[in-house]
Amino acid sequence: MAKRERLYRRLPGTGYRLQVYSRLWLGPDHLLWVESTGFSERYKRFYYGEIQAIQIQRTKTGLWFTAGFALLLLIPLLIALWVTGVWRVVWLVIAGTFSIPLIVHLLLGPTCVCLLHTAVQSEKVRSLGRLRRARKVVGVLKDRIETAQGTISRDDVLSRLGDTTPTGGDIWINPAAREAT
Amino acid sequence: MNADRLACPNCKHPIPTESYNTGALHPCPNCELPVLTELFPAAFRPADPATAAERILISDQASCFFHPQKKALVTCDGCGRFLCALCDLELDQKHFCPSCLAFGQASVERLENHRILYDNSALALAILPILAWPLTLITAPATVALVIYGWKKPASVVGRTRFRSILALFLAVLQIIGWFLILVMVLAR
Repeated sequence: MAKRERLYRRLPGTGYRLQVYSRLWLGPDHLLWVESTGFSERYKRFYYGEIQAIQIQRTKTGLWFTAGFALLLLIPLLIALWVTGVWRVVWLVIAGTFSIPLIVHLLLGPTCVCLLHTAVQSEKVRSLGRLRRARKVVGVLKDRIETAQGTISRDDVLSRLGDTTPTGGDIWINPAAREAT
Repeated sequence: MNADRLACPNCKHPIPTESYNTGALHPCPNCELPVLTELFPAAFRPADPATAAERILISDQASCFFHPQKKALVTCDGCGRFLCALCDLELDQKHFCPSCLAFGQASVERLENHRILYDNSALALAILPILAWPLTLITAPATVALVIYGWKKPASVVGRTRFRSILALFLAVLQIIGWFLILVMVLAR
């Protein structure tokens, strides 16, 4: 049992939500999403043969973080300029400490949201919250998905989407639309 | 006839198909937030239609347990009941009835969606009560019991060593030894 379970390879990124953190693991034929409280784990499996689409969208959340961290840095800096002597050093040290999260945030790059689409659900992947990391992980996933499903060229996608025959242009991602047909 | 297109995750406006599978981010026509869209062949594959169950034509034919009028095709690998095409739920080359799947009788690993982490729980039980150390009189033996109980239980699906369980056991044993020494010193006085 233990040897079989080591077939998973952890992908970069951890998503946090209240007391739960989530991670992605690359399996032999599926992507495993693990949500953990520390004392128990929940799993979701996305089989490479069933993933229909992936979307990554840049968000404005990163700008709000930048503004917040910059404010945290600015306040002690302004106080340091206003005071003198040893207090100036103290406030400069505090400002320096508050600069660390800002630097880390800027180094991690822009924030994003990543959606995984299958026939039955569209799942937001919380562990892929940074654009650079998300693109890297999606690149790895794309190789696995193409191995399972085969490749499709962009021209083929566009021609199939433009096909007006009864089933030619359908993409079966939206369950409601599928039921309507 | 075309089904709905992929929508912008932010504003739900349909994403133009020209921006699919380019490998680059393109602004949404509505909210202008850049979005990358990758479509795969599975998106063009319609779902397999459900197989209809056949009616029994000959009176001595085996019938489905859940649909006595329908012909049985397979037996359930969980409970042995006869199943028609409608009731047959195939997973990992095994056949199960809806009851076995619903009540966990189907031992199919890929259906497992929840596990308790006994090693983490034991380690927390060994470490956290140290903050209020008199509690360790109760929690130390409880930790040992939890480690023993969870030793054979399956750990995380992604695989992990027994390090946490061993560490929890070690800390709990140290705490028990500590209490034993306190008891000896108290009695010696």
